[in-house]
Amino acid sequence: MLGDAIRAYLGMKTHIVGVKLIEDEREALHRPGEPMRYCQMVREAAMGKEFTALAEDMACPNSELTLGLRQPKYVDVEPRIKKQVRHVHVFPGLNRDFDVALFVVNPSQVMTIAILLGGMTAEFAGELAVCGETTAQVFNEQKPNVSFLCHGARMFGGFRDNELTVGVPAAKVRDMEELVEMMIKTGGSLCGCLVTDVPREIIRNFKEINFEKGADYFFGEIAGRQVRIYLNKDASGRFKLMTVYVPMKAAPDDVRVSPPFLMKQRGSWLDVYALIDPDKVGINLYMQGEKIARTLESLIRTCIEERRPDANAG
Amino acid sequence: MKMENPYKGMITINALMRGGVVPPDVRERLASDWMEVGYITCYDCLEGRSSLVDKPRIRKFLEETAAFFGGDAAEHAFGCRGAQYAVMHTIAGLPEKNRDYCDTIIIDPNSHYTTNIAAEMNGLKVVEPPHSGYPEYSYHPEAFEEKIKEVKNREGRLPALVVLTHVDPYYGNLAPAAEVGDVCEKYEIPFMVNAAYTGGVMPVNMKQLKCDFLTLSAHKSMASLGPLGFVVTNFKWAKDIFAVSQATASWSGRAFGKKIPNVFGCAIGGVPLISSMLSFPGVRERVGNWDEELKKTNDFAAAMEEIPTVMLLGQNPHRHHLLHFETPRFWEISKTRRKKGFFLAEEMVKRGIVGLHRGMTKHIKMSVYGLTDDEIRKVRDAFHEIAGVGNEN
Repeated sequence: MLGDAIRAYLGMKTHIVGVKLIEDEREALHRPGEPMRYCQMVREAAMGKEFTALAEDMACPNSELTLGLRQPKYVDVEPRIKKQVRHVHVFPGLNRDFDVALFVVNPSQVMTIAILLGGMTAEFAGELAVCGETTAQVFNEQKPNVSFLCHGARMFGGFRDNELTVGVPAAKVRDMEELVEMMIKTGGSLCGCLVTDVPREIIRNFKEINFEKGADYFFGEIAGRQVRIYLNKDASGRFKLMTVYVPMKAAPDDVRVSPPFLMKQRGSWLDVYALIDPDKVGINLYMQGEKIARTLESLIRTCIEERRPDANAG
Repeated sequence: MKMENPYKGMITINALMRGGVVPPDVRERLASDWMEVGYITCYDCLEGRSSLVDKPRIRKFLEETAAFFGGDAAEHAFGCRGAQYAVMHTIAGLPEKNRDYCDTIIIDPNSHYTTNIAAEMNGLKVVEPPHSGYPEYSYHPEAFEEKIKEVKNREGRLPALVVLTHVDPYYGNLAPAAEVGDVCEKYEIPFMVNAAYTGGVMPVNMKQLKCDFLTLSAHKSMASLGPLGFVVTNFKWAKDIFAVSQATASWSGRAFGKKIPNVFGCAIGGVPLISSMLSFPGVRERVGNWDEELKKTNDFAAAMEEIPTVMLLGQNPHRHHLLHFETPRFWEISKTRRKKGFFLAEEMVKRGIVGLHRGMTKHIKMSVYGLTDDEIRKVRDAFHEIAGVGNEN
């Protein structure tokens, strides 16, 4: 069911509540036995109950207005749904069509929701909270919002002191779900174990110059040679230096290198390599991919000379 | 329900699996005698713990296992991860007993994830010495000494454990275990070697490695079904790690005095344990053929490197059967195929060879350990054919 992955990721004991604002004449199948507050319906739906409420089923006049069940005559309230809504369907889980998803969550879970949404802004005033701030406003603006609730919600709605609500429009919930599923599926990498923490910006930068990321390094071609670039960490784990490797299948006598390049035999391979401080050669690993390519090309052409070019394995 | 193994009868080249392949005669004996019930080892359990069972001869087998690896005592565990958990749980209690040690441990930078998770489960902080990076990913014993000093300076106490992965799961590098053992001896720090990839395929002796704990994987390297692992130790540490339960239930007064909490009471074992016992004579014997296996491995690596841009990572010449190649050639080909990164594993399966990680073409990890010359040729030819390289033989 949509939302299950998000619930699991957030560690939610409660259901995500789906809210559908219904304009047509379809039958309201789950009307409460007596008038209830909308916020109370939401809190109870989070525990598994389902409601379809007409204006006459609302115990709080504010929510009649904010949810569009009744239009204001004398005094307007904001936020409110401007269209005429016939009844509101409030249900646990997101297995049916919904306009707004309501999360009953604690502050830590709000933080995670904000991360999943790529950031969010909050607009709340401590009144018209569940109905206005996280339902009507979210529906009108199609933007998520967080509410610290109102007195009514806390006194009559059954919300606990540590609970808040977050309203998210349907389309955004699907984005959140996709992100969560992707994270769960890959665990950061296909096999589940991430072997490097090279920042994404650096990976993108190298990709721009056709350097693909291997396990924890980059491979590509410069000046007709296979080149590998490994970013060295210092003892504290910071990326400080860059090792440029030009693996060659050649005898040491057939290759002449000049600083900063050195040579090392490794099995049948001759590793020609240079340890470079990016700052000192004016390279920013996070940007200027083309400059990295130009700098390395110049270094490789100038500093590596092979007597038998045909011996180059690359 | 129809459920078949689509890879039955294929050559497996998965590096995790080669050392765990169960010999055909053992498979037959398992199927005919030992696969009736999961608790097959428990009919004659008199003392309430599988490691104390004499029929079948589990107690004796564990003694032999300990001796074979140069230790004094061994217990079987739920995989090598269970063995590592037992060590870490023992070590987690050390700082309280002995104020010389803190709750930080040192783990090598190529460790298997289960090592770090065992530490995490036991609330131990982990410090890593650096490795050399591409293309060898090796490290020196001095790096461990530096980290020991660093922890001592910072915490005022020594790290409670040093962990070394004898051969790592990423590059198949053989670690300088004996040298790190010297460092640990000098500072009197408990030393654990995770021999999941070595114990049972190559000579491993914990006395030579100077370690206090050796953790083993039967299904990785001891020709056994899984999940099964062993933790081997000396008598000094056996007292702690294999200490029996002391608890008495508050109301009923029950006690479980034969159970070892660190291996979850009784690690049962069942068919995996029997498979390991049946395979053990062959395992002891095959370790003697290690040099020959290593030569086959290095010859194969050289043949793979005939494919343009393919290069073996890690130690070269290689000192273990786990091979990690960077394979830009296959990645280039994958870009032209409908199956993209999945093409390589599927092409191999079409040729009766299974075990490459699906979806990976930039790098492959594999092994030809225990394969016949003909099988190795078949694997080599398959890679060459897919890469479009001519084959002289």
